[in-house]
Amino acid sequence: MKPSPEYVALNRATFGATTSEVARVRGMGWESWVEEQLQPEKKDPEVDKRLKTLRMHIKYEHEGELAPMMMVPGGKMSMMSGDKASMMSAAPGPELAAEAKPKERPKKVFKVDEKRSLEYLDKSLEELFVSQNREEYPYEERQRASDEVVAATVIRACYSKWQLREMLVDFWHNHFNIDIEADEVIMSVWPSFDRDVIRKHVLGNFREMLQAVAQSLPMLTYLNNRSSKASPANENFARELFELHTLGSEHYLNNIYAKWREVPGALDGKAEGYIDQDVYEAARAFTGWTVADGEDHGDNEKFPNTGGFYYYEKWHDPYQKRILGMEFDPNQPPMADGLAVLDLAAYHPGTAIHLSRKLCRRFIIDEPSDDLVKRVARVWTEHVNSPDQIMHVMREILLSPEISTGFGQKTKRPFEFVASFIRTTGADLRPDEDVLYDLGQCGQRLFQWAPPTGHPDTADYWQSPNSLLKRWKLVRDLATDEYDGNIIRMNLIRQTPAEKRTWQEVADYWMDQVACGMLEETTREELSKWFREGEDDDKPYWHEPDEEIDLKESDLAGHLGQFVALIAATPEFQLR
Amino acid sequence: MKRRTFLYTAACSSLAAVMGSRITNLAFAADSAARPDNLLVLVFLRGGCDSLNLVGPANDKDYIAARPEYLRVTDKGKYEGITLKNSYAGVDMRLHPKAAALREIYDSGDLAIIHGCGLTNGTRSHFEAQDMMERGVSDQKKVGISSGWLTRTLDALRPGGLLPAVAIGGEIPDSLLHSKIAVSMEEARQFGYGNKTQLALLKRLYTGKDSIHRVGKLTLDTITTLQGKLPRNSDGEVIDYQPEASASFENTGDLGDSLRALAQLAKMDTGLRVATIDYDGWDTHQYQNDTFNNLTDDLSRSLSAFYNDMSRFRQQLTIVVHSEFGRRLKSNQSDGTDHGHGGVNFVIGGGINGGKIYGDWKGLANEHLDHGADLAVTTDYRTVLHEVLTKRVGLADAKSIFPDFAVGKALGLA
Repeated sequence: MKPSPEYVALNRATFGATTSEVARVRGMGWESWVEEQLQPEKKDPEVDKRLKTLRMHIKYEHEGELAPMMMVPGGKMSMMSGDKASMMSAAPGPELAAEAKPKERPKKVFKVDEKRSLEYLDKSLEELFVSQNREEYPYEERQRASDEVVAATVIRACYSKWQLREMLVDFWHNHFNIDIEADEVIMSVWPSFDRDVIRKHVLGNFREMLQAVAQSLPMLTYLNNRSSKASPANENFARELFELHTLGSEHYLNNIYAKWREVPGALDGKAEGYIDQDVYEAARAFTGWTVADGEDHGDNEKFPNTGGFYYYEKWHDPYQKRILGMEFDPNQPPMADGLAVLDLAAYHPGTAIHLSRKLCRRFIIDEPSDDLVKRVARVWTEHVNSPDQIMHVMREILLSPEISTGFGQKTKRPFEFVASFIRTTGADLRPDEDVLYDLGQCGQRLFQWAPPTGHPDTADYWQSPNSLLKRWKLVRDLATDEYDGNIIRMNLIRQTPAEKRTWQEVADYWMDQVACGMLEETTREELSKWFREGEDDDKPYWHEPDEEIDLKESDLAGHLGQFVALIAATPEFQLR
Repeated sequence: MKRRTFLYTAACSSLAAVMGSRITNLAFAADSAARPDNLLVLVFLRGGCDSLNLVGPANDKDYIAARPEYLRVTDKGKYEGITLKNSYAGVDMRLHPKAAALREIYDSGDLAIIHGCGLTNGTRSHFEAQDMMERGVSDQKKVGISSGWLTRTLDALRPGGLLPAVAIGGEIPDSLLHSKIAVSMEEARQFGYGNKTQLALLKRLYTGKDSIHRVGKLTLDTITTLQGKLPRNSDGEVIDYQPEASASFENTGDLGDSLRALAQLAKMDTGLRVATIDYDGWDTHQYQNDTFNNLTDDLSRSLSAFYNDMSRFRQQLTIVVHSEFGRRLKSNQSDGTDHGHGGVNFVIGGGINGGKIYGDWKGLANEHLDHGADLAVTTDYRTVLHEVLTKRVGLADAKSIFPDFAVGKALGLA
């Protein structure tokens, strides 16, 4: 059986095509669906409801003067009115009088062990930074701030109406990859980065987004520009800006050219690619781009304490530079050198090609054709100054004929795999640390990919025994309720329509729901046979296809759970 | 029910306490038949390990002038390095003090150090450099058309074993790109799935020709192999792995976990010939001192534990440690170092002509540096790999493994 064009396209533009979404696209037409998704509304009732009601476990002991959550503006120890979960929070332990210094409040031991709502997700950068940057702030609370973003990201992928936006959020987070574990302070302000930097620009203008990223605490910290000063400057950010964020390594010409004059176009101020000398000079241009971290860095003056971007003139290397063939005069106004580099990089024709190829790779095929990439790059360039540049580019990609052809050209990454399983089985997932950890075990660690490349996006990488095995196990654990604490409810029996009366009809129903017509005929036969005949070794099933099924039988829910997990373990379900 | 983290050592010790010494005997009995064929272990230090901080010329005036004390190996004081015998004439090459665990292996003659070793291509991009190295080439244009150099090695070896190649700890690295036999895993005991009927079903589903089918089939076959070979007690439960020779992997981090898992696998008689392990985190652009100390500490103690655990098989074992490039001689204003060029390689094994530093050391004066900035590459990384393949791994001819490399004079590592 060949999957329908709607199904193929939806599986690329969303975190997993469902039968209901396929039907919706058939009703309204692909073009209208795309237009709808390109203009996401703020409202997202299903997600809003889930974020509001989610309770995630947190447990630690903290010794200090104040209860940790009291340090956060508006922070509450617990939001659990009416919730029966165990709560020991803010129970002050024995005072450590001997260690308490005079005139200080005595230290107490605070035991936190509670199911808590998402307290950090909506906090501003300054609120997050000022409270969490206190030395005494517990690690677990900093980590909690980013854990909330991970949980919200999973919920949105599974349940958001605005699937295209969520796919793009994932794309940009990987494009501007930051490993939150690189520094605790990144974890603590992560809700702001996700919201104010990535989500804000997700369908907007690339140049604006690039600057928002470059001036964000997480990127300044992760790629070290925060500590870069003259001289020698720290080259980490400047190099990855060219290699990963903008022109791409396909425009790194250092293996051919050691002299800038030999770079094609350089003598006209329009270098076609970059070399190491451009990296050195760009690093000089960004010296002094740092973080308002409230610290005194040795000059007897304290930086402002906001967690925002800060330009510190004393660290800047003011003299003339030459970058991509452009001459920079000495002694420019504050930040002008760095902003000019962002302009050069963002508007470079190589960037249009690099980003277009990467987006096509994400949404269509591992190795997109040059023709497709050029078509998309043309739109990129045409709208390079539009506030909604990325929206125009995405329209070109989603309305290309390639979007609905060639099922199986992409291998799902673990995140898409899990989200598509939740979406197609209609499961009720309330992510907690266990399931987030297991998702990471499949190889995709949301916001925790150490090198600045972001997660790989080709089948070469994801089709590996370790990842495949962990996927099979994860869906099995989800479907058979191996997790504590009501993390997941499958509701498979309740969702099975009453008119499905025989074993074969129920098998067919769930194969259609989960795999939407992409299973090969032999796969369907084998799966049906397993559903009717086999569970465990001790208690073999044996049911004829047309035998009536009793949906109320107590063992059936577990059996059906194993069955949908096996549908998700098929070769077909690994692909997009 | 689910547990987020399984505390390995705690589980080991409690079980051992209950079961007494029988476990060790059982495990040993299962192992004693195992005679691993020669095994090549590749540890890749991702991020560009600062070769000049790992093994440095303590008394070199250019070295001293280029960096603060805490980014160097010194001949006295807080950062005093470990003296290495058989160094370059007149150069006081020393090993980083946190690499003390490797001293014994070096002094015993099983560790060879090759300095100024790396990629002749001038790229300073991690990802290009890794792409080239893992494919065994030195030209970016060859990256797209090549499989991994270990893939080609395995193709040439035609190993007949059940599990000839593993990538421990993560997914398959590019050195094993397009390999049809390499398996990625964390450890043997975790490599299991479902009950018999579920396994049988998946085996019937993964029979096609496409790559996803091939990988699925390989995964399922490996499950069968490993679950059949894991030593079990009389109740059929898998026995915890006990390292030999009182080797301790305690507090050796992810690398130690991976090497421990590898030691177990190597002794399971599955015909293991090639293993890869990635060790990430060497991109030390800022505040290098602490990071580098920790990385070096884990690296050396993990390697030492593994080498002890494998002491029965040292003659068949070769460990190669390398990185995509070294780092800039002169440190930056963030107390770190930026991307450089020449690296340092370790080759460890019984029968290696170790206890010696190889390579053509010209010093660190400006005229000897690459582009006046970085340690020059005086030994192509493939000189080392070629010699290891022909003298240790058993390839008669390794020319085809490295298509754009002219094999020159061997270093005499083995």
